[in-house]
Amino acid sequence: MKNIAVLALLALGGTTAAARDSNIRWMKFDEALAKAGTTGQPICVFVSVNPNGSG
Amino acid sequence: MKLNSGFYMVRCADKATSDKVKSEAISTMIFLDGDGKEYHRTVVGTFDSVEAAFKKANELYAKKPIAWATGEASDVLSQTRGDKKKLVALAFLDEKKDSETLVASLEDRWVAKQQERLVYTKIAFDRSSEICKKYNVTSVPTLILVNPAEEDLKKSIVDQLVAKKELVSVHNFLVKAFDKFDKASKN
Repeated sequence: MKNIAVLALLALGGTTAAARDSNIRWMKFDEALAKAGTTGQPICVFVSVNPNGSG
Repeated sequence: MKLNSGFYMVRCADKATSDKVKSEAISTMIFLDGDGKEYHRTVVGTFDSVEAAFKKANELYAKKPIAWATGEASDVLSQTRGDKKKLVALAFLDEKKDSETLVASLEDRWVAKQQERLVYTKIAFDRSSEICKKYNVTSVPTLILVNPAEEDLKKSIVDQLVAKKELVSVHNFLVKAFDKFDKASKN
């Protein structure tokens, strides 16, 4: 549950120590795509900063 | 179990990733299937909304049991003849583990979306049966994809998968078969 809370914090715009210390294994998008293409496991992209628009 | 444990997690904070996922707003969760196709997107702001996003993503990308066609294979082929987008999947199965594994792969969330274009027919494997002889099936499990619109037996067989395979092989087999079928349909 801790990881979800971290996401929620990020969602709220926080960049807290909890977020930095989370045990979520963040991947590069292309790495995630490559892995998904061999296992079928889904990808979750969390937009924490949006260079193309708001945020 | 953590709700996010079944997902490869990507944090989008750079322009390259943002362009790839076409991000439009901060705090968006974007879900993509094993083929990299987006199937769910939602903006979150609270713990509950993050939790709900994961739940919805799991519901939308889920295992789907096969709806087996009833009747003889020849009847199923005749009934499907008018649908130019669909293939008939003749699944020669027995009661053993390898057959169960193949069916489980076909029902897997990654592969299940192909069910929209397939009419599955389960055939009890019996090498002395007419249908096994007709399609030259000598081992089990065997999955044969048949174009029902093609009357010539040899030409009607789009591809076949023999023996138990890993999930990725079953997935790739179906993707390639439909690619071949769709290209042939255009010509």
